[in-house]
Amino acid sequence: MRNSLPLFLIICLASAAVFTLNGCAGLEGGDPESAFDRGALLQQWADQTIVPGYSNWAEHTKTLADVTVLLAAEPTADRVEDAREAFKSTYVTWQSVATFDFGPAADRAHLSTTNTFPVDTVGLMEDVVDVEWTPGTPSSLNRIGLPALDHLLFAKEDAEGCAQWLNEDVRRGQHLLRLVGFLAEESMAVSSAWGSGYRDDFVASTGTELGSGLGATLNAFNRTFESNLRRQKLGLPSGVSTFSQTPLPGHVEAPFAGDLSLQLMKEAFLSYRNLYLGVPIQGDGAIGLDDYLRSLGDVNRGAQLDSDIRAQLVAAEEALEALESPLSEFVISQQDLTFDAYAELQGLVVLWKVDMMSALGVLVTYQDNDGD
Amino acid sequence: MNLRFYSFLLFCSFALISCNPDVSGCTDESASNYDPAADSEDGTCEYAIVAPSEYVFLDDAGNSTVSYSGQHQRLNMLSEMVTYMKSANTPGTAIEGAVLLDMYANNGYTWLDTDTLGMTGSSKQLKNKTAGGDPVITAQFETWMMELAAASEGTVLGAFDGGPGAVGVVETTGTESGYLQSASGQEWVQLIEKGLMGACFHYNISSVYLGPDKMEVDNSNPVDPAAGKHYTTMEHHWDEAYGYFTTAVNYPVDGTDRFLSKYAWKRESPLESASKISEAFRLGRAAISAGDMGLRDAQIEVIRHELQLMLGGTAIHYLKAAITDIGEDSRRNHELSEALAFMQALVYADNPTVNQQGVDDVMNALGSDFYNVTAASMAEARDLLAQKLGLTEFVGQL
Repeated sequence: MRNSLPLFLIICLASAAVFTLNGCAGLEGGDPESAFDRGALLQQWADQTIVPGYSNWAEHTKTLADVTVLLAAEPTADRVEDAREAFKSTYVTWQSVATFDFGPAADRAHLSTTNTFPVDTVGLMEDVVDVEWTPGTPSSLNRIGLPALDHLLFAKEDAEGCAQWLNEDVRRGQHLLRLVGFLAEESMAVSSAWGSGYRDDFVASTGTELGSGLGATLNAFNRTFESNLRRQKLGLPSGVSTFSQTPLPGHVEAPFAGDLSLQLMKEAFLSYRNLYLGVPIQGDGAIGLDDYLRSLGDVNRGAQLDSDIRAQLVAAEEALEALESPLSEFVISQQDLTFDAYAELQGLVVLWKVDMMSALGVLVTYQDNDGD
Repeated sequence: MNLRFYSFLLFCSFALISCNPDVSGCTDESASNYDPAADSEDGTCEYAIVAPSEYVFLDDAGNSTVSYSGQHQRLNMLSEMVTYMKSANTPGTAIEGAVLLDMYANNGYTWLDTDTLGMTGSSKQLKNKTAGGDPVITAQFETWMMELAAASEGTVLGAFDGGPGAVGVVETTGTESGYLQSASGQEWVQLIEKGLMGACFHYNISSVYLGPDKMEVDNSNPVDPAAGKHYTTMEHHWDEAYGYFTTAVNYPVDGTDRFLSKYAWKRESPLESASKISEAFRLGRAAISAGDMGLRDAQIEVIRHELQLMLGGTAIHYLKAAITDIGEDSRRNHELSEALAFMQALVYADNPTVNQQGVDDVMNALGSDFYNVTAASMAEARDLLAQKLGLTEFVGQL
């Protein structure tokens, strides 16, 4: 017991240190995002935008399938009109969910099987008479989905002409049915996957790493905004994204329907804007990425960045307003205005993909060119 | 009387003091069995074996005992072969099959040898170290090399002729570049490069150098100090395993640029492949030098296990990428070829979790004509492989 006094002191000091450190352990040192509730954001996204969005989308494809059954059974001008109306409203609805190209949608390559354009019209006509037609293979992508329906329903400009064309060969109506059948099947599969399990995993993964709810959503958001909206809907048709800067009017979305292209572009733009500003498809939630950035305050210039993005959103909206339908003609007659609109969208790409992603600490993973 | 009493007391206190026994034990504070109550050192101090932060090991006289120059040569040989093979991705550039075979067997080939390792004319080669020189396996690689060369000869400058059912360079949309692929979209460069990573490098680490034939050997005597070989046989074999993984002693600061160590670094998140594998190599080597074979064997298990997870995780990563790139033939085929080769590399593990039957199961789900896969078949292959390796929870992050 000679050493008992110093030993006792050591034990006391050690205990004090342990308790003090434990007391301090509750503070997450320096995490700027800890003030923002990512879980609440993911929940609102899932429950008020993505799940109802996909459900709505699946319903539309089902309705389209129903009217197509009627059309194929007995092609008349009225039934053609019905199918055309259903088709247009389905295409518009697609724009509200196209950006959620991760999870169940990515597993089924849903974006690629639904909306790869421009359609290969020659190949499509071969498919009409192909008994062993297989949708979903890589070579089938530009011959199925909404762009293929666009061609079959609108190649003959007036409804009567279309009805006659369908009456000439029963396989044409049958192929229409095959196309909408596949579309509806895929849409329902994606919608039901969200409704049965994926939603819970999504909402629970509140980190920022690859595979987290935020990581998956924002990577899909930026990738589809860049490639599907900016480049495909505008960049290629206007000629901005081509080497010779020559407009490609046949590359607009829904070129055969006549006056749908511009509306689809604007609807798509709205879906990105609404996700950013926290405007859900169904419900009264209001949390958005703007709130997230503002919650950072000065950290990573969060609040200023939100302000810059809002200003750029307004600029982009105005530039899109200056475009006129039909887009396929406008890209030729007023190419300069389409270039302006492209430039404003490009401004958003930089703010969203570079500045916002880094401010929120989310890695951009879709440009990972492994360089093998 | 008082004097005697106090003398007695004094005598007793001296006796008490001198009779208190010294506590002996380990008095070195840095030892794992340091005893703060010990007064005197009794030579029982033990020291926990720790892995050094770099792959640097010295003998008592301060000589380096690390050597893996043969492995360094072979890695450099594959690097030069890959550069040569990739030139065929430019349409109109023909490469020669005979040259590739000579590089593979180091048969009269003059290497660039930028690290001056003496590769030209050396006894080192990739061929006889591919799956232990197994003739069926080496013949497969040589067949691929000849097919690649023949395909390259058929290409024409500026013509991107590859496509479904057609051999040629498949162009990536919007670029002036692409990949030379077979009629079913399989890319020889990936089958050969990633294939040799598996059949040569992975095989030699997992099934050869960390196996009993190479590990149950002498660990007491330096092999040949006069010739600068200050390592024991066991130490040397361990180093050879390390050299097939990376040649960088400070990995992963350096050495993340090629082959197994590159992909281990890519899988650091979420699998921690680079950290786990390199730490196990350094700790196992320290264990050998300290004579702790139990600790060594534990590291062998870690290395074998983590290499398989890294290779399988990379195959899964590429299957996922291929789904995203479904509409872009050149990239999708490229990524599926990578996935196939990484998957195939798994069969070369010692007691593999995924053997050839396992790989065949996954390939049956995927389909071997890469122009005819679907998102569903790619997702099924991905999930099946993940399930076989216990990686299902990581699929989202790979």
